[in-house]
Amino acid sequence: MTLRTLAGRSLQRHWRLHLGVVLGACLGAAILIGALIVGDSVRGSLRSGGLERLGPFHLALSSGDRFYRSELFSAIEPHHTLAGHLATNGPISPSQIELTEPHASLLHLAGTLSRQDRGARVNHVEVFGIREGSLFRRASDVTSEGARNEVVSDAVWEARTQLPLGRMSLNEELARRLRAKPGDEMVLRLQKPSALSRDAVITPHEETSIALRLVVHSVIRGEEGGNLSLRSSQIPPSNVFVRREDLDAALGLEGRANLTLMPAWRLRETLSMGTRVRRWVEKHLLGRSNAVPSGSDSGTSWVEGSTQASLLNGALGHLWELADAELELRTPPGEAGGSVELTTRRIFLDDAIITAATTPMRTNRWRPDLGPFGTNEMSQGATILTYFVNEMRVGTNATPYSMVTAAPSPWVPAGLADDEIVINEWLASDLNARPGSVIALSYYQLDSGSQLAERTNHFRVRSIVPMQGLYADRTLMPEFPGLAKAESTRDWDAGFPLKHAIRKQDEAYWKQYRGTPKAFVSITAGQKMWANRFGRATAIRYTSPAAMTAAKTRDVVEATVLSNLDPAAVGLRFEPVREQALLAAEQSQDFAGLFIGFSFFLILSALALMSMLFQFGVEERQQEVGVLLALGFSARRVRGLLLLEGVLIATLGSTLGLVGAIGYSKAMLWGLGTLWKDAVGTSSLHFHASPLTLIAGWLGAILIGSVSMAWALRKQGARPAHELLQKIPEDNFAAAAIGRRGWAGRVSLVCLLAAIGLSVASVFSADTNRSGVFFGVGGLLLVSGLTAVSAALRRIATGHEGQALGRSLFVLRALARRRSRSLAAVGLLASGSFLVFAIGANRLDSSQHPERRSAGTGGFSLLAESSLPLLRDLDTREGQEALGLDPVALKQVSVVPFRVRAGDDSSCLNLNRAQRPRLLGVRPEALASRSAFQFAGAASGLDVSLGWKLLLSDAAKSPAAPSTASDAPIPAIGDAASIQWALGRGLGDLLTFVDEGGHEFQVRLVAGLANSVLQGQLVIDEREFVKRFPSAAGAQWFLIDCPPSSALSVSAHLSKVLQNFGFESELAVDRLARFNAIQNTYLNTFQLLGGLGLVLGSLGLGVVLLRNALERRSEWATQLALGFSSQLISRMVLQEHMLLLCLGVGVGLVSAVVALLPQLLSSVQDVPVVLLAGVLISMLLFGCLATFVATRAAMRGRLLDNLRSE
Amino acid sequence: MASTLGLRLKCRLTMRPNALLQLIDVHKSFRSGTEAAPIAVLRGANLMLAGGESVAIVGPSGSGKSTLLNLLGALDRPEQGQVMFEGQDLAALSDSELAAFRNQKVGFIFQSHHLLPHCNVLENVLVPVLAQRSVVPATFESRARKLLERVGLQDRITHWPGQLSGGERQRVAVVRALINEPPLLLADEPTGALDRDSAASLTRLLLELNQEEKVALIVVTHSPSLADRMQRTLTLGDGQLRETSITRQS
Repeated sequence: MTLRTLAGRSLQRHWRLHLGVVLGACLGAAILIGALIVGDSVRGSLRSGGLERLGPFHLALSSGDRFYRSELFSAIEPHHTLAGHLATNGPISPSQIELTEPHASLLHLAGTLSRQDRGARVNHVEVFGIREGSLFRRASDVTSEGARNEVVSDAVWEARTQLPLGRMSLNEELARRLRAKPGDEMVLRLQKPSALSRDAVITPHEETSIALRLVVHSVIRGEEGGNLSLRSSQIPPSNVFVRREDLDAALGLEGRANLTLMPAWRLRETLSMGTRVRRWVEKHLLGRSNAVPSGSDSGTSWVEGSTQASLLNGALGHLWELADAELELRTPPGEAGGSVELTTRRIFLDDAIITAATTPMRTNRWRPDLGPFGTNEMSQGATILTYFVNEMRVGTNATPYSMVTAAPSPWVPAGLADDEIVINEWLASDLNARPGSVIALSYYQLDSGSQLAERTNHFRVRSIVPMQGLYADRTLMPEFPGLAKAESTRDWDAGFPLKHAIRKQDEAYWKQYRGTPKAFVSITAGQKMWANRFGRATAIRYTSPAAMTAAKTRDVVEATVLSNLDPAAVGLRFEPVREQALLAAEQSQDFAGLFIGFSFFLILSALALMSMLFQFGVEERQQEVGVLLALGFSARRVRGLLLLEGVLIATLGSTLGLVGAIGYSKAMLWGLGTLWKDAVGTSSLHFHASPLTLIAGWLGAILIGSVSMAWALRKQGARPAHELLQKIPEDNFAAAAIGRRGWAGRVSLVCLLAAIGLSVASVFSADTNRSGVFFGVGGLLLVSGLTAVSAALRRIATGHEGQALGRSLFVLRALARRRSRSLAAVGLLASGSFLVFAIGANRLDSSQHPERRSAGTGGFSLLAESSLPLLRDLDTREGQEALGLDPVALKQVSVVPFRVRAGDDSSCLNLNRAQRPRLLGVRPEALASRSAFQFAGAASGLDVSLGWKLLLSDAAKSPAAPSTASDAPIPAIGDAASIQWALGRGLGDLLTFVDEGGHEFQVRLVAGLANSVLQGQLVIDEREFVKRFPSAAGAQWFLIDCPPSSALSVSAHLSKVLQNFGFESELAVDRLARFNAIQNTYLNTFQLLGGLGLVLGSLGLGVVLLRNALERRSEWATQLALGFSSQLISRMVLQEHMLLLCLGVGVGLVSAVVALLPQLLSSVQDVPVVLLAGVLISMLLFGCLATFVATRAAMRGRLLDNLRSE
Repeated sequence: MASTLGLRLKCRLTMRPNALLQLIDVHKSFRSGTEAAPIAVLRGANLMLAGGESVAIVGPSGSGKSTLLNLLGALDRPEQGQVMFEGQDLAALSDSELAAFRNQKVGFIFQSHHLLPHCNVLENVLVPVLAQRSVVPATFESRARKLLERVGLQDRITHWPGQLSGGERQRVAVVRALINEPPLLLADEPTGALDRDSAASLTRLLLELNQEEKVALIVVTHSPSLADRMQRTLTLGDGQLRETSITRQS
């Protein structure tokens, strides 16, 4: 016989009493463990989704609008040896690596896809140019959870995935959106890749996109590789897979690629026992079986993604050729200067290339086996910059549209001043210029885009050169698109309107000399005028040393450039995308925490209920406790015995709760995939539960249950055994009368004063982030209210002489009879109603004054996005006409355009932790002048009143972080909620990005906007944007001002005319409502679970009432005998419990209303008064009904039996 | 012999015009949980009580004493027969009228004091006043104080029931029963839970009050010593009341 035996027997004896407690423990455990499983499931689903979208690929090289040879990585294939390509002194030797699967080199473009019948269109489509079906994998090969492992025959599989020419495959998401099925004809519109950024003045703007008519061949499911995407998001992309031959022909990208996906490399090594154990734990306990490639076992070792990326990036330096950097070596005409010329199809050579090409090679990193080539004998190369100028004028004589070259000697005399110019004979004759004449040279600033900023510089003619030799070199003109291939000036497509008339002699010059420069200036002068964000040279010419052949010179130049240049500088850099996807999933929104938070009140209610039922059960057994005490058990030992029972009950309840947890989590996942889909944006959340989570949750539930019961037992055994044996009821009033003075009153006062202070301070504070204040003030008031109720009940309980007895005092006395019970009920109701009000008050309503600049819409009527960039200015009549828009329809329209750098969606829609959020570039003054949007706060040390001016580097300089260096962090502004939740960052934090040149730069979060349509992205100054991403031409995101009455017609007009750009506009208020729907959906979840908690709390109140009834039936019988009618007794009992209800709801309501005062007094957010009043009335009605039913139940039966003598 | 006495009593009682309380041929039965047929507890019980009289009702456990007391105190209704109070048949009263009747005409004293733990001594005494009024008038309070002084509890007025001894609690219950000056006091084993001294003291008190307040007293008891102190003793057996000890003048 042991204590455990005794506890076990007691459990058997009192199982009926414990049934309710077990159910309470089961409920609490189910909710707690269920919340943890929801967290596991969301994380697991995101991980599965991330792995599914990347398939077998671990690394990606995505070079955007730069195209390299598709055979660049042909050496890195299964059965090839990596020796010679990988560094031998790295962490892993090439001989240890085994390649198991082939890589994929693709074309990856943006486009729009519409049905041929115009029935549906999808913008922002990702287009992949692939080689037949090599990219896809059979679902039966996939082991990730959620995959539909159907067995597909080889023939069917091949028929589906072997893509014929002229056909395309869609992923399921796109097929669903377009209602497409095999055989349907579609129009795929793609942006034509342009060698020179379309932002450059001299780029043709016509035919920027092409349309392909393609037939749907098959629909590829996500687990088959259909959801291929490099972005971390649970929302499936819209993908089109096209035979790349179809794209090659249409886009002129034969043999080129801009995306390479590399599978994992297997490591030939024997795993240590430690590693095997770690893998086993990861796979079986933590549920991270997808941490290694699908289909593999944990006994195989794989090269870490980041290590593999580093090895591959190193290998790139050996594998690549000039063509991969879009560079070209050519031989100028014999009579021209130099023997080898380095140019680029991108027209302008940027700084990294110029530096690489003009710096002597120290070691031959590119082809180490070939040696340094004796480069010391090489010239450093002459930098040449040729540009197309609008006009050269001497007095009244003017020559339109000419090429002018900036170059060093020998093209210009040594020592040519920066204001001197050398002109050819033709120009001298045309302008009637002589040495000493002053020429006014006008040109458009190259990167002024649609602004077309014209500048004029004046030069003095130094000399006149003949049209021969160096000066008759038409190859000095780069291959300007729109000009280079023109046979006649009439064929020119300069990219800007030709405002000067082209004369006959100009046409004749073009026919005879083409783009031969008519004038030469010093390279310094040229670069001052024409250097731009794309580069500052159009060619570099090398002269062969006497002892070197031209062929050898070519080799030396090629080796020099490729040795000196970092492939990352031209966008060639592998990223460990699989590692990033796993990290994004791992750091995703903590749904376990979120659901524990949502269910907190529910768990609390379940625990309170369980604790109360346990306490009541123990109270039923007072005689048993008395016997134990009488037998010599100490009070502590009695409590221990009862607690042992409690722990056994909690264990049983928690074990049952495990089953309930699975049901609860599945219900929540179902809710997230259906009712609350707005919040998560996907219905593909699958059940995942790691054994570790289940064990931790189970133990946690037992612990919490046991602690709750220990709390309930804290007073057990304190009463004398004889009282317990005689079943003399506990008399709290006598105890209270002789007890010490309560501290509740003082605590209440302190909390009240603190709440008032905090509330007043927040009204006068500039900080608009009210939620902290709301919960701070609300929490203090709740504590103040509850302690005040406690103090009042104590005062009523102790009473004082001279207090007139009346029915009201009689009712109050009854309330004070079981103070802790009454307080528990009031506390549950107060917290519940506070939560319900808090949630209701924080519900976002986008329809409140959307026209205000301080609203979440920024006061803009429309918000638009385009798949392809718009290069024209939508605010000018010229721009509108060029795009085919009707200036009359857009009369009162004003547009703020944003440049876009694609990245992870960092809005609340993305459950993954955004690793590299999308960047928008805007002119800060466009938003500052409108005082658009409300700022929720600024980083420490910054003045939030500066608003959008904080984007200017000078304004955002914090005294704490003074920096004037060019690598100083760029100020960025984002939506405060996105920064906090989607990015998991705070104001003042730094984020690292990689620019187009492969260099890392930092962005500092200087300010956050309150609940805005700018969720999901970070906004930086456009000037900084184009410095980092010079190729990102035009705008793709727009905020549009127009009278609200014409918003719909303007939207329709823009969307219709600009449909080829994939332009899509919507009411800004609708976009805001969509974002708000996410928060409101979370609030719905919170409210639903809070409501369930309130129901459970009411059930607790009912249990209290029934327990009171059981205890007080003899009292009521006495009252009946004393002449109280049963109706009067019922009424007084009802009043008593209604008072509890009112106290609970009142404390919660007053706390919520006072906490809301700052919101009520400010214009930041409107409080939905009607909704809250409705909630209040419903709660009171429900409470009244519940109390009435419980009172009726309590009064049922023969009360008089309780008066019988024993 | 007993049944003859009963019949004689019945005849005599029906003829008494100044009776305070009369039970005429009262029947009452209960259905036990395990028994299919109802058990008849009272089978033609008769009783006549004059004002200021004191009566003890005795009988074995389960004979129906408490049932009889409930009928006398209008806490229950007979199935057959009449309960007349001051000439009025209680069957004619509604539930609320019966409650008012109990409040004004009857004072109850139970074996267990049944004091309300959330009211102090004075308040417990005043509780019956609240059955008819929302607030207790001052006159009742002064009466309560007087009565409490009368029973020697003037120093315990603000004490809680938990702070009193068993005898003191029962004295409070007696005062509570008298607060509305009822003509009838019903006591169900009032000394059952008390020690010998407390029981004797309470018996003395009840009889003194019976004399001083001119209140009729019916005591249900197992205690022969208590029964002996009453003017009459009736025995409940076979569902009927029989006078086993005829009046003795106090």
